[in-house]
Amino acid sequence: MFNYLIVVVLFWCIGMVLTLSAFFVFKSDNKFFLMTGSIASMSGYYFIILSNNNVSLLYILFSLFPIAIILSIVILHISRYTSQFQFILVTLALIEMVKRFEFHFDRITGGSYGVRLSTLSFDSIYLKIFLILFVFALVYFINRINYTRIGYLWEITGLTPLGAQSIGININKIFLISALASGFFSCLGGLIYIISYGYLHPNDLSNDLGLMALSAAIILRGRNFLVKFTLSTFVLFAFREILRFADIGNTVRFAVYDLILGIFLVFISIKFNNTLIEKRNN
Amino acid sequence: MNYQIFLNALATSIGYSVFSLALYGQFTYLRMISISLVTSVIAGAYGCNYAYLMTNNPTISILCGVICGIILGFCGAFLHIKIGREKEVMGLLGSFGYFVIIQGLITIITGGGIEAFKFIPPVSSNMLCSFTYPEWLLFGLIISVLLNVLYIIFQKFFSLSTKAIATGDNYELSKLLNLNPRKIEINIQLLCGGIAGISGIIIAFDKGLHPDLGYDIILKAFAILIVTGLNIYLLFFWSFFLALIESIATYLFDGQIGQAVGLSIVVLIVLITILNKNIQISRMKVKLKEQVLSV
Amino acid sequence: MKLHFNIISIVILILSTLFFSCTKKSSDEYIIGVAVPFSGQEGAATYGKNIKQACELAADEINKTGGISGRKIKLVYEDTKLIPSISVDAVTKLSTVDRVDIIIGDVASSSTIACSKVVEQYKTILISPASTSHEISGISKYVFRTIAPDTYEGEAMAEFCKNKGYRKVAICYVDNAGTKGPALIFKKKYEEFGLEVPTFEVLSQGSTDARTQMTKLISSKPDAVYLLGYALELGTMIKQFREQDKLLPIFSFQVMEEPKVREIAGLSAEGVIFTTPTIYEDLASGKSRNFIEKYKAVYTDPPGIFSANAYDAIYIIKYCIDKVGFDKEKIRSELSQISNFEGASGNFSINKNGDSDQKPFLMIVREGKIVKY
Repeated sequence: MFNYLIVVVLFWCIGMVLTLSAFFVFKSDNKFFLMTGSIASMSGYYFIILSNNNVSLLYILFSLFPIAIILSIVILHISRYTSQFQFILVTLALIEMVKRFEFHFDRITGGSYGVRLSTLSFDSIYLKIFLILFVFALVYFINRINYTRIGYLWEITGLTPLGAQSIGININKIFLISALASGFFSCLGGLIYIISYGYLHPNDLSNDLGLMALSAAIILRGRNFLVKFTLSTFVLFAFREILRFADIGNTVRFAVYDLILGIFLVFISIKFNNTLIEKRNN
Repeated sequence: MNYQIFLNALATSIGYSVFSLALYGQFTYLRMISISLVTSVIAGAYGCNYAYLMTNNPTISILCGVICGIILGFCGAFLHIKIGREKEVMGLLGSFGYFVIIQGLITIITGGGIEAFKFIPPVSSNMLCSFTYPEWLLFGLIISVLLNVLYIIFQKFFSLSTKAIATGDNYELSKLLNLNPRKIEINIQLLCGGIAGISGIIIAFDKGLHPDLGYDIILKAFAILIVTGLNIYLLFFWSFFLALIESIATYLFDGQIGQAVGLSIVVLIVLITILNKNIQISRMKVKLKEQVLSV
Repeated sequence: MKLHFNIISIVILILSTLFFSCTKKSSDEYIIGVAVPFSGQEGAATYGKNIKQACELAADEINKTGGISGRKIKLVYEDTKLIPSISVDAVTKLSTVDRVDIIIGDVASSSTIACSKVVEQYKTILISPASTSHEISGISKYVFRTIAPDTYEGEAMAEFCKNKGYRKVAICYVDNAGTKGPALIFKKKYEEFGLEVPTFEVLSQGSTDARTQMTKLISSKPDAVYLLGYALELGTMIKQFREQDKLLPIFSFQVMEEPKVREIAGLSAEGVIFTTPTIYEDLASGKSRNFIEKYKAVYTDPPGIFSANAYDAIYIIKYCIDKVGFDKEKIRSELSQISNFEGASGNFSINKNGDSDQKPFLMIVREGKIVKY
């Protein structure tokens, strides 16, 4: 029972971390970033392959995060030249391409067989509990930052970039920091996924998780960050996991599975606005 | 180079070009990009085949398919009215949520696992259409070209078209001019839903009937829309051209790399079009600014 | 107030779902977990349904004769949707919440590979009635299967093509664990015979447009083609191949049994020759025939793909428990020594790698029906 709870909470933590990754981009640049899952998948592969080849853990961690960060900065640079819709289209295509490459280079990634984490030291229950506590602490820390001067500058940059520029905020610097943070969190999500499942397949992280993380991140602007964050990530990630295993009959579970995401998206699109200007017009 | 590749590209592009026509209509008239029309595609495909299972009459079943497409187009219109006109990207997200709901429902009803729906028989698109491959190519080509021509005629000679363009350009002004923009919006959505239903029937003839029909279409159809821009005469050409690029890339390269290369070239073309348009728009803005300042 | 309301609602949600998740283990019942897909990509629901019906048939028969050493069998189902991560979650739940000792599953080879790590951690025995990838051989001492690995099918088809005198056979397969294996084995064997595989093409999973791949296959001028994929892709490949070439023989593998393949391919499926370890009615005798008749008496339709293997999985569990008792480790070691077990899928043995050894048969599609070649 305890092990099953750990699995559910770990999946919730993965969801929280990926949501934070999408949230940073959304908050500072007002763009929908769907590639969190793909970057997590790439970091996961990097981690598994190096640790299966007995490379030291410190080296892997020190090289993994910078690579993920550079990747997100490169991808998010495209968003400077495209509108929201065009950026979504490009990221959708990039996700497909990454998946194809992961299938193609099967000597490295295991291809359609996937790849198992062979090092048993990551099976430790203490490591999993530490990761859970670490993620909760991170979320609390981010919540605190939101209500400081930096947090408000950040929010203004996303809502009205021209306004922020006119009062002297360097929006390029803020954009860079949010791209950095987004890459870091995507990578962390991939890492937690590998440690909790011990196996990675190209179809695993790329399909749904990016969209789920984004839909959880959209409602997070404004007040009550912690409450909204907990509720949205719980409903989309943890509750979905729990529902899958609840002993309430197969038929009800099948009906509720994928409809939750669809209903959530429709609900937030009707209820929430993504810019201050849109709110004024309504 | 094998001539068969051109035929393959043609076969792929037929279904997508009809759907892109529906998207084009929605974009030109309503200045809206949404995924709700993909639900019309799935509904058209399934509606047509279930109607054939019950009535055994091709004409009635095709009509049924179109009607199902129209109904779901109407639901999509209703959703967009609820979301609000100004919220462009929220509209996109909401329509994607609507697509996920409809697709999930169809998966469950047509055999995804709920015992309660066991009475619903399975369907196959082969029972409606017993065309051979060359017959299907000819049929699809004729339908596609015909719809394009009809659309151009509609654009040039029908007052609904001009009213819709006015509504798309300036919603508030059209209200002032008593054009009833909400009614126009719904009418256009119904029309586009019908066209999307027809495209669903054509695509199902070729690719068979399965609930994941919608996912393949999204990326390609939107790429065609972006690259075509506002020039409807080039719609079919661009859909054929993009399908041809993917076909050639898959033919030349081995493994999944071929598909990745094809996809990346399509994305490159889309990006170039976007950048080109953005550069043109910014040049136009600079020109306007100079004109204003010189006065 | 709003904050309190939100926190209270979360707490109620957690408590209610945890309440539903708790199960009591009854000492009168022996619980066996079944982790198979009931939804997901095309064809997934059929696999789950076939396995579920076969398992229930076996469980009912055993329960009517007193159960396993006095304990009645209870089956607990989990949907894995043919996705590895969901499969891992399902196996974790069955091992920790339902506390089962033996799980029957999964269907997709990549899911079984993913679950092998979990079952080692919880020391749960996993018996797969459907995963054929040769990568699963020896992957874990807790993983067994009642279906032969794809090595047998790939080699059997290579032998057949060589005996028929085909010098060049082009291959197109879908990039997933279950279909890649036979393609690789066929290619390796064929090249050992000194014959040629001029094109070795791949199609991505879920793809409905294989025309360019089929054009590539035909342009390499083979004597025959070997097509491998799950139901949707295989049906599409066969249909789109016949659009471009009406004469070349098409060969395939076990998934050809799926009615969905013949539905998608239509008349193009006529004449396709394939290998399968499933014993059909016209070939059945003894226990296989009994199984087919009992299955038809209960479910009207004949048994489908993987049914016989799932039926045998329940019966080998009964056989091992009757012999060594309910101790997990003893059951595990007995499973790896099963020899000449007469089951619905034929007479088979399980080796120390956990593989069974049913030899495949050659079948052909004639007038929409599957008959012996």
